[in-house]
Amino acid sequence: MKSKWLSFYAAAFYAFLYMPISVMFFFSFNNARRNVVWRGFTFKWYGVLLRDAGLLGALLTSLKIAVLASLLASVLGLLASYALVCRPPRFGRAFYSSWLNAPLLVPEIVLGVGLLSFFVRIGVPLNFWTLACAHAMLALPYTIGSVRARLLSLKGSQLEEAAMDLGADHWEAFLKVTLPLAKPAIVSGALLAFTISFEDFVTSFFIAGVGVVTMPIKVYSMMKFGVTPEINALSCCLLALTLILLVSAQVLRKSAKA
Amino acid sequence: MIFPVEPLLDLQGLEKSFGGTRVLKGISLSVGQGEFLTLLGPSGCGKTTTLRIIAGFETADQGRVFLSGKDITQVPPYRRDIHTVFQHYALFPHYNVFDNVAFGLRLRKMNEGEIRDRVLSSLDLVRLRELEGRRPGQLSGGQMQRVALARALAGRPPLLLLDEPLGALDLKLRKEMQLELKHIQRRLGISFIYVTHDQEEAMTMSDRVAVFNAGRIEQLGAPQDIYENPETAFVADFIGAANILSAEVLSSVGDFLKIKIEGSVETEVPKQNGWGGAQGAVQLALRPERVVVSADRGQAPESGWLHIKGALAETVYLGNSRQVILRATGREKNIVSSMSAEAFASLGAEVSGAALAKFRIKDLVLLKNPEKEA
Repeated sequence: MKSKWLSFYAAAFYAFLYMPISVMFFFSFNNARRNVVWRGFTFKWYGVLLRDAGLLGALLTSLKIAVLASLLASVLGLLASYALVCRPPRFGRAFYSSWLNAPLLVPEIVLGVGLLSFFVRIGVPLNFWTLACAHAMLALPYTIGSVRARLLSLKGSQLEEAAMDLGADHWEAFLKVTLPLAKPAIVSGALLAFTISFEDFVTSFFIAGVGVVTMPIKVYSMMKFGVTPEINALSCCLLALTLILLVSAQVLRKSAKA
Repeated sequence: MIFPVEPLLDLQGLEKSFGGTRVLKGISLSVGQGEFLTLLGPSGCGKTTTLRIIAGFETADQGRVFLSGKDITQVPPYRRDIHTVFQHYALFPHYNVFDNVAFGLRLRKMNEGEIRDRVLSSLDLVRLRELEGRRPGQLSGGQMQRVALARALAGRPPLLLLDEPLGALDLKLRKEMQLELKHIQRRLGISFIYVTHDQEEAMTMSDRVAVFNAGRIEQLGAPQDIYENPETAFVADFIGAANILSAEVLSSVGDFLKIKIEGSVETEVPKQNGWGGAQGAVQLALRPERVVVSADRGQAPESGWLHIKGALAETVYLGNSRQVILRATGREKNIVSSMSAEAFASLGAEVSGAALAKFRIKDLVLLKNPEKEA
């Protein structure tokens, strides 16, 4: 009896999680301009999507920014984690590492407003590059989290000490031992950073300069003229992309642990 | 110990604190060429910290480290001609066995042919040549330990440090590896500094043993010397087992000292064997295997023997021997005796009540520094 109720609860729980997504998915094949009534099956919205130059341009911008931001966040994240784990400050290690998580805790809208006034204040024009930097900052806690966990487990195994014992200086030990072993965690962090940047709306909305239109911003502007199934089709593509990235990040993280 | 030439390694007054806790309180010792020295002690006694200072992973707050007469106190680990075998092997998981062993040689920019010869001869030494292509993840614990040893030996360092290298292996394998390690050490003539908390391991392999306790060296000497003439209660108890008896020196008569053991048994001991300057309250060590328990039938001790009266408390079966525990009358600590199976059998079941712990006077070892523990 008990297990029946539990199964029901579990089914309801998953329905709650996935119903909106599945509605979006099915209506991307709806042969109608509106997302309300089902009028038959079609692939035409995927075709419309592929011919929409504005949307594809926004997609390209988003991809470029995401690549840049994830590269930046990975490099900075690796450096920060290495410093925290392998060359920890004498005092206040917990202080330093918890403050690196600030972007996770501060509401994104506050960050957006803050970044906007910051860039205006220091007189840097808002453009493609400032947006990439802002995204890198948003993604940093994720890259640090991924890499730091790996470095901590490596430190426990004394591998870098073993390398130095055999004659490798700090740099050689890092290049020959730590870096290759941390690589899966670095890549997994980079993939997370990529999705963070790619999906970001709030921050981008505040500080995307004139002419920088990312995908989420473009979608938002399209919504003002009513939601056509083209957006559903786009969302499905994005969903697939994000899923692939997240799964590969997870797989890499697993293989790093083994 | 006096060395004919200068010692290979010389530690002078090492002090080290971690967060206000003094871990090393003045460690000085020398290691000779080709010597097998063991640092023995319970966990937290400072033996591993000493090893890490020798390797260069820690820097002493005070004191100096000399290798072949050169001061290497401030030299980083990668410029010291000393290699380490780590407790948990620390093999590089992304390299195979060959590349692990070749790691140090490649850093020295040797040519590949020479590296190949050196790696294979090192693997031959630990009898693992056929596994050169395996990854560490595919090896058993014993095999990983051998690879770690081969890797540390490949560069032919004059001094090898071993940090509880057999700690993770099961008993049978550990015994095998003990003999093998000793054999390899003899064959190569390399000095070994070996850290362990296992006194039997220390006894089996070492030329000399340094017994550590609470950041100090309690005693340094050959295994037999330490076993037979422990200087402190700690050493007596840590190396093998020991009954520590308290005694009082009553008077000195000619070549003899009159002492009273445990406030009851009075006897005379010859002043030789280091009893010369003893006076006042002293501590005596008595090995369990030198104690025989028998039924108390009111018999007088034979000449040269002493008796302590008590009651049989417990016997523990240990396979080839029996541990017999006697609750001595008017004494807090029990007296432990280790008897052979036959001796125990001849003792029989008759001892259920009053019993005697019998031992020879000459088996009592006077502890030189009973208060050093504080």
